Amino acid sequence: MFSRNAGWREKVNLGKIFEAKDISGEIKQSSEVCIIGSGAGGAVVAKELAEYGHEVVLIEEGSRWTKENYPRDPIMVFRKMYRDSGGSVTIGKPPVLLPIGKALGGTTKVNSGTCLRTPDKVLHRWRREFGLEGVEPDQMRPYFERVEKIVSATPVGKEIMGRNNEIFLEGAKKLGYSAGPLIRNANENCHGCGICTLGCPTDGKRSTDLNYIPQAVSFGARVYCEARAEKIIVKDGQISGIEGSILDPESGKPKTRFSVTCKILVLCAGAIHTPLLLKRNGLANSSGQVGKNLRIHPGIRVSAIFDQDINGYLGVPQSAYVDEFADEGIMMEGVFVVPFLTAPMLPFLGEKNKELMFHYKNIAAFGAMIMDETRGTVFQGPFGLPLIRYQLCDEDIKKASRAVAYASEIWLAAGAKRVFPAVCWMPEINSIKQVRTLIQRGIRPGELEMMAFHPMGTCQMGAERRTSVVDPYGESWDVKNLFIADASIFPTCLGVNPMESIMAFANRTADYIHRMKLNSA
Amino acid sequence: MQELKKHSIGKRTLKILEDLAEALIPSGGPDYPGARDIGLVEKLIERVSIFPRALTALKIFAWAWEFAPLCFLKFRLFTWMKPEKQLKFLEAWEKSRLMSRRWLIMLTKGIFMAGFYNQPLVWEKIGYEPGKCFRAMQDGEKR
Repeated sequence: MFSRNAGWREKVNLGKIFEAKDISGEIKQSSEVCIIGSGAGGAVVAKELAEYGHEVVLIEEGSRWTKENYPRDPIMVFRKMYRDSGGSVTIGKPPVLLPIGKALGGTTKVNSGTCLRTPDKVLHRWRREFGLEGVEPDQMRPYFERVEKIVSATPVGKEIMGRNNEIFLEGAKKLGYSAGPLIRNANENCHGCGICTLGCPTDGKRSTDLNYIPQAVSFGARVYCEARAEKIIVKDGQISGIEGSILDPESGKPKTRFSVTCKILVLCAGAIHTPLLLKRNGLANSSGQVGKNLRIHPGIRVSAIFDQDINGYLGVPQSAYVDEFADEGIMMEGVFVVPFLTAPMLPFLGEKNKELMFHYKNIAAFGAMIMDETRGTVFQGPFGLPLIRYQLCDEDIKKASRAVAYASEIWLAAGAKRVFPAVCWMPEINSIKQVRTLIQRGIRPGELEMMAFHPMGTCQMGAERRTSVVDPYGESWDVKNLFIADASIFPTCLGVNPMESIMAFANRTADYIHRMKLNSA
Repeated sequence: MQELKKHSIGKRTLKILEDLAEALIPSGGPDYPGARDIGLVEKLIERVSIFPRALTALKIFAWAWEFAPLCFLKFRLFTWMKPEKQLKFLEAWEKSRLMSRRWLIMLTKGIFMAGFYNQPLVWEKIGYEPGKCFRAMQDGEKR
C-alpha cells in the first residue's frame, strides 16, 4: 500500500516530543514537512507522512497534558487547556460561545470524542456544487475506515451511556424517532466518568496525543509543544519555512525563538487560527475568501427535571443521538456538564435557580446542533485576539426554534415534569401546548442561548481559484507547497461532529503530499 | 480582612459583591447553603486574583452594578435596596427585551454561580459525587 523512503530507519530515532522546559536556546530545524497544529488534522498528517519515511516537524502552541498532570480544578482546565480560557465568543445576535481547545492533541483533548463520517449527501453536494473530485463516499470510505481503526471508534456501550442519554432515547422511542448510541474514539478504559471536556482521566478517550502523535514520533517526527507559529517564509512563490516563538507555559510570553526550514508547510491550526495566520502573513488570499464562509454548527440546549434520579454527570455526556430531523439540518446529541457550568445555564435567579440546582441529581440535558447556512467571518482583533462575526440568518433561526421545540417534546414524552428550553421569554415548559406556542410565536435571534464547538469553512477548498483558498487536495492556489488540513477547508457545514471528517481529509491530503510532492521529488 | 487588604478590595466593594452574590444564591443554613454561608465572595476574590488585571475588572464590575439602579430611575444604589428589591431588580434584567441586558445578567450569574457550585462542600449538598467514577475504577468495576 505504501513504500517507505530510503533512510527511514535513521529518521525513526530522531522522534521526540519537546516542551518549553526542555528548551533553553534558539531552535533551528530543517525538515521536509512542517505541520502547524496537533489536533485532528495535524496529528494525522504528521503520522501518515512520518510513516511514509518523511522528515516531519510538528509545531503545537498548547502544552502537553497527560492523565497524570491535568489541572484538578475544573476552572483551571479552562484556563490552561482552552483558548481564551474557554471564553471565545462570536459577535452577533445571539453571541455564541465557541470554546476551542489548546493542547497537544488540540480540541480532540477536550471534545466529547464523537466519531461520525461526513454524510453522503454532504459529499455529493461538494462534488455537485463545488466541483470537488475524489470526495465521493466510495472514494472517502478507505480513509474513514483507516481513521476509525486507529482511534478505536466504537459505539457507546449501555453500561457507560448514562441515565441522561438513556432517558432521552426513551422519550424519542416513545415518539417513534430515529435514535441510537453514538460512536466515539474510546476504548475499554473509558469508564464513563463524564468529564470528557475537562480531559480524560483514564486515557479511555483516544485523543490524537494517544495514538497519532506517539505513532508519528515512533516514525521519527519531532514535536514541539508551547511553540507558536508566527511568520511563514515564502521564496519565489513557494514555501521555504516557518518562524515563531517558544512560549513560557506559565506566562504565555515568548522565551526564545524557533525556525524550521521546510519544503512543505501544512497548516492545521483550526478554522479560527489558520486563516488568522494567513492574514497576518498576507498570504494565500487572491480569492478574498480567507477568513470568510465561517460555519460553526451552533447548538441549543434543553434541560429538564425529573422525579427520578438521573445523575447526569455519570456516564458519557455525549453518548446518544436522535437523527430524526437530520434532513431538516438538526442533529440532536447528549450534553451534560458539571455543576458550575449547569447553574448559569438554568433559568431564574435567587431561590428559584438554587432550588433547581439542589435537585442536580434530577436534572437532565440534551442538545441539538444546526447545520448552518449562515456565513461568518474571522478577523484579527486587538491584542492579537480573533474577532469572529457571526449573525444567524433567518433560515437557521427557524431551524434552531424547531430544534428547541423537538427537544422539549422529547423530554415531555420521556416523563419530565419541567423543561427549560433556554428561551428568554419562555424559561419553563410544562406541556405540549406551550411547545406549540413556542413554534407559533417563533424565536428571535437574541432570545436564544447558543454554544458551538465546530468552526469550519474559513479557507474552503474548491475547484476554482477565484472562489476558494485551496484546491481539492488542500494546496493553496497562491503559494506552492502550502497546504491546509483542518476544518477550515470544508466548503459547507457538515451537519455532524467534524473530528472524523477532519482526520479523513487530512489523511487524504497527506497521501497526496507523499505521492505528488515528496515521493516524486 | 488582612487577606482582603492584600488584594486591595475595599469594604464597600466587598459589600456590593456580597449583596450581588446573596441575591443570586441566597443563604439557607448549613444544609441548604448560599453565598454568605460559604464565604463565596472571599473565595471568588482569591480565585480571581490569579488572573492578571482581573481584580480591577471585578471592582469595575461591582461598581457598575452599584450604580445600575440609578440608570433605571430607581434613585438608590444597589446596596441601599432591600434584598427582595435587589432580586427583583436583577430579575428584570433576565426578563428584559434587550439582549445586552440579558447577557450581562448571564455573565453575572456565571461569575458567582461558577464560583459557588465549584466548591466541594456545595457538591456534597447537591448530590454531585465526582469521585464516584474513580472509586469504581479503583474497585475494578465499570459502572
